Amino acid sequence: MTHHTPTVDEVLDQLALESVLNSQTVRRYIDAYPEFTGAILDFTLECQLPDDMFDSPTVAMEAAGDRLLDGLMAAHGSTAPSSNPLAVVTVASVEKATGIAGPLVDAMRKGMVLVDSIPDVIARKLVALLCLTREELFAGLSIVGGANVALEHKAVGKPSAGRPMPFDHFLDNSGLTEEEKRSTLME
Amino acid sequence: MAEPLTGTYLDGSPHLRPPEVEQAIDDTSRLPRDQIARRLQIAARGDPDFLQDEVLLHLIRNTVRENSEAYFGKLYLVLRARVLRRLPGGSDTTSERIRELVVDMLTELITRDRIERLGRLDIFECRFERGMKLLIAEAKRRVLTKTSPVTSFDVSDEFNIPVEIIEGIRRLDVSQGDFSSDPHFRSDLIRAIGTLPENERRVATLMLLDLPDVDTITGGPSISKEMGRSARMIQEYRKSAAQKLHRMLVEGEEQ
Repeated sequence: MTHHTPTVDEVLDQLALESVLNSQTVRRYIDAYPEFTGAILDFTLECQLPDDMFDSPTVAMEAAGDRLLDGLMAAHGSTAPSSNPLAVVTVASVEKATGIAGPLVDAMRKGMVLVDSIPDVIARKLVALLCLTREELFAGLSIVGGANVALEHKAVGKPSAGRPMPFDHFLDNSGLTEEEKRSTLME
Repeated sequence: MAEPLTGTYLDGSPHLRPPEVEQAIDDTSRLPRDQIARRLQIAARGDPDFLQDEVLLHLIRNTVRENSEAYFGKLYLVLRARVLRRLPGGSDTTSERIRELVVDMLTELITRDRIERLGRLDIFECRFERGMKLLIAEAKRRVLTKTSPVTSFDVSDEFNIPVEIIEGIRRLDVSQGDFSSDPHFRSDLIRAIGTLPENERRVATLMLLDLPDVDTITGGPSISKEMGRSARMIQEYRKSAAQKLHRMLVEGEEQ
């Protein structure tokens, strides 16, 4: 018999694993762990809600799905040392930290951009953010489609990776405003 | 036989997959990869070849030493679709924040599990739906605690609490199954309860469990006892909850 005092997560985990989850089960847990009544009841309440089970997720829902996929691919990429360095971070985080517009980050991430065409200012920002040497960055970015199989699936209907193109090509066709382009190329 | 789970129950015994999940994992592990890939494409849950969510999680956990991008990419895409179907809807910023938190927590669990097996991810391999509910409940608690107004609600003794609200809550005994002739009413009511301030939400949820306000005869479980509040306070919370539920459900007011 252990004398370990369980945490709220341990209690909820055990409750979630119960084969039968009914009012008797919940009451038993509340009696045993009154200090966690709130969390137990919130979980119980949630379990009573039917899943929305969207057949056609909205744009807002899709955004959550993409966030999940980005996170998982980044995590998986982090265990593969030879992968594209941008595969281990999310597009949004790079955009926020460097000001480089998301579509351009995404294109570099997918190995769609000719490495030699990447402007110095962009390379400097990425080197600083990713704590890499310039050589390491360029070596990584030249991996076409590195760890991005799923990311390409996300872009159904969009042009596929194919042959790498010059950075300017993506900048010109990115649909960014002049202000966003300036911000991308600003130190 | 699939590798045993490493997480443990509070008594120290290892987590066990339900027998039907164990069997499904066994069956799937004998399949060549191209067949697994084919079955992953099946989205109809009624199809005999549909791969359960729990099996999908098992396959994902086993990609830790996986080098085939095509394979884990496929698994993640299917997981994305399965998770999407279970996320709460809504286009407001609160719903969006809740969804973000849920997927962030799930990502963190899967990521950490790749380094060291986590007992919490066992839940997803045993009862995927409950695992998602745990994360959603946690996300709602975090987000709604930050955004809930703390203003008090005017509880008038004269307010005539509509009987359908009280009866609606009473009918929601979780042990009963189908409680209402109108299934939408049930889910609307539970959703509405979920938006109440903490004490009122607790009272309403304890009512779902069919607990009496007080039990002065046997001293057994009661709402008053579970919440550590007087019977009078419980009545106030319930009245306030009922008024708000009435406004939300009958008058269509947003909480």
